[in-house]
Amino acid sequence: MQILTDLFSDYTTRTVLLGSMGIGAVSGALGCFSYLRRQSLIGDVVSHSSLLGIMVIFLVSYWLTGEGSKSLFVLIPGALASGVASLVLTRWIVDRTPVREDSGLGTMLAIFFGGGILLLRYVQRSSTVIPGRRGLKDFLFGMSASMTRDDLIMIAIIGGLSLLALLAYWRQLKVFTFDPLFSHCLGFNTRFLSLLLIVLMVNGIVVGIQCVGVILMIALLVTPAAAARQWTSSLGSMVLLSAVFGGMAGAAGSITSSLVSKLPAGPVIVLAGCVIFLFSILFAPRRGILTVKLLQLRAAEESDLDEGLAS
Amino acid sequence: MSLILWTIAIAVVTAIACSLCGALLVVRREAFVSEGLSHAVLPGIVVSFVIFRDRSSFELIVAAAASGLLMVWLVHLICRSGRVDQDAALGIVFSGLFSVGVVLSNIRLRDVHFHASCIIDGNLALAGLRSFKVGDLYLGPTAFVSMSVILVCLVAFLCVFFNSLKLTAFDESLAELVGLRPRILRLIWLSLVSVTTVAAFETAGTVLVVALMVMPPL
Amino acid sequence: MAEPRAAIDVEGLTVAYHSKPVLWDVSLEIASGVLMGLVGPNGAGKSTLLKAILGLVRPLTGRVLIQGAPLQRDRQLVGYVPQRSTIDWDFPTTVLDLVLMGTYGQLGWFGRVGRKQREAAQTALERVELQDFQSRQISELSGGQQQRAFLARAFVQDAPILFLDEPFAGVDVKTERSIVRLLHEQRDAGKTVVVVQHDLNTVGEYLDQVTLINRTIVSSGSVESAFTPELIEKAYGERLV
Repeated sequence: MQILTDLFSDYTTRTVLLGSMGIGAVSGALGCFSYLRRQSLIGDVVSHSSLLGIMVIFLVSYWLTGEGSKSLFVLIPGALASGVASLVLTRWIVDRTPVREDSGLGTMLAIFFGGGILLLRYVQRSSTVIPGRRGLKDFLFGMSASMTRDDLIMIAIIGGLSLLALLAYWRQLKVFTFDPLFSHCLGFNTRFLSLLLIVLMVNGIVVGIQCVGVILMIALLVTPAAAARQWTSSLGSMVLLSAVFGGMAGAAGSITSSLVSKLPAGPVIVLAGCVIFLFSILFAPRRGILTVKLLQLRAAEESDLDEGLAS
Repeated sequence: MSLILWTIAIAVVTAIACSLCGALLVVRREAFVSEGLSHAVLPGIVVSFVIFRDRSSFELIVAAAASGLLMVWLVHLICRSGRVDQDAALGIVFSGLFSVGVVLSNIRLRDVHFHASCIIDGNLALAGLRSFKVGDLYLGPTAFVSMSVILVCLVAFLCVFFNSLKLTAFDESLAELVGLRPRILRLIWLSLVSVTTVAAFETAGTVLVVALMVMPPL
Repeated sequence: MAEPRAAIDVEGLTVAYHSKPVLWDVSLEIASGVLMGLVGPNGAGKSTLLKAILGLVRPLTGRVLIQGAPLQRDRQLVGYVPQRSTIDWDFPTTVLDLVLMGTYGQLGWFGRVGRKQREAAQTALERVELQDFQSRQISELSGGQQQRAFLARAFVQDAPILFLDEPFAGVDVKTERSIVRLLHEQRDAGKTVVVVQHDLNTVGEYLDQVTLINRTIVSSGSVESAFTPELIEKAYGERLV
């Protein structure tokens, strides 16, 4: 108990904890839509691709100011741009050539992430020392431990705006996700909605990169949503629950990694998410695999009993 | 043969093996399986490295293939339950396994120079340096030998099972009806893909493996 | 009163994907208040025509008029029941929720689902005899019930033109008959109903008019004139060669 109170009184830890929870919640909520549209892997492509944008912005800021910037305020627009660019290019290829979507996405992932890695290695190994390059590789695996108040503000702004947009367009997004043709018939602007969903997903991703890094980002997007889906049969409660699960995973990860010295927060957050998912898919009421098994067993027993009484 | 020639040879063999794997993955619309595998092999690599302390051992490849297959099996289990669709299951499982790998490597391998990011970008230039010898006979760099063995296995597998694979890719239930064993075939096939993925790490790195697999068949 | 306009007027429509023509010079007029079947083999371009009419694919040439005007201006003229196999039945929503979606188009920005909308949904659910299932998750319905739930959503939307994509695929005979009865009611109330179908057996029995289609219009008109064995062979035979 003493450890926990120490933990919360420490300013840095509190920032990190708050940040991780917020990030988990935002990504969890926004991830529901990619999950339901079966676009989980698109999130993976976007998050990998954003590395290129981050590196380009870092280098540009180095050339302009003489020091590479790692502030989220400048890096996030870059991440957004290259994430969206990878999707737009995929669309372009898929519409104009016989290449199918999954292959197109895989190719874009390789090009954008490969480009990002190339630049990262260049920055790390170039003979002239580029100021600010230390810690840059944390974008791969997350760096929640180094979160600052500014980062927290940036996360709050992006997360808040995204959640507001989600609320404002809730009904349209719901119908569009479920049945795009019908939403078109209702007079909704499907082009806009599809773009909005992409932007929301990318927002969820760039926010989460801070926490778990580009490689594991997909877990923050998919795992809470998949877990939440098992518990409920309404979209509203699914999104809420997914946010709660994401926040729980974020908290669990950052607490564990601050208690155990060698543990990086990002992967622990992902593992916490996996535990929540495992529990949900096994024990959720009505849908849980074991719950269903148990109910069947009990029903079989009862019918046995009835037959026994009858004979 | 000079180092440069060996390096080129390694690159060529790796590229051929990867695009062979990729051709079938792309046909089956499973391009993302290679992406998943390239992440999911990490825990296997770490575990075998912790035990054997050898970065290019045979055990390492086997362990990595095993954890790749673990991913395939887990995804299959989750999908079969009907609760989660395949893409999402793949995402959950490979990110989870990769996390296990990163955590393990952080706990057990801090003292040695081994970090998860090592496997993200391979190093083709260095691959030619380690030589493979049987007795005193120099057979070429290790990477070349292992990649060639894998390539031979792949080609053999594809030749023997080409028709059944084609049928399985086209219509799984029909394949089952005519007495093929699509699931076993798929298992062998995916273990070959994992082995190729791991072996190609050393030369190409994870991301490029995905690129080498997915791009040529397009 | 003005001369009754055609509900749907398609003129010289050509649509291509990747420079392969899917629809070739399609001209078609569907009068108001009829029950029309859009019949053709798989890959004949039925769903592409549907999408073109809804304004979802851009044609190379030609145009589509809905009640005498291009669709963009007032999209709410068209209701739509999707093909059952294209729906993600695992989507977290209940039957009542699904039917209420039909009211979303009229709700506007800050409108809330109120008593009026709920009553409309209830009435529609009673018409398709699903009132006892309204709080069920949609995946827990049988195929026929699922189809009827979507029909209820279309009734709530209350558009003058109604499209149904393969409504009889995978439902039992009883449901098939009750759906047909509901569609006849719609037609008698003055609505235009278009049913996309590739099963030939029940066409004559259920529909007023038929359009046979395979890349282009083979024939269009009353069942007696447009659905003769020769024309059917023309529409279906070509693809077998």
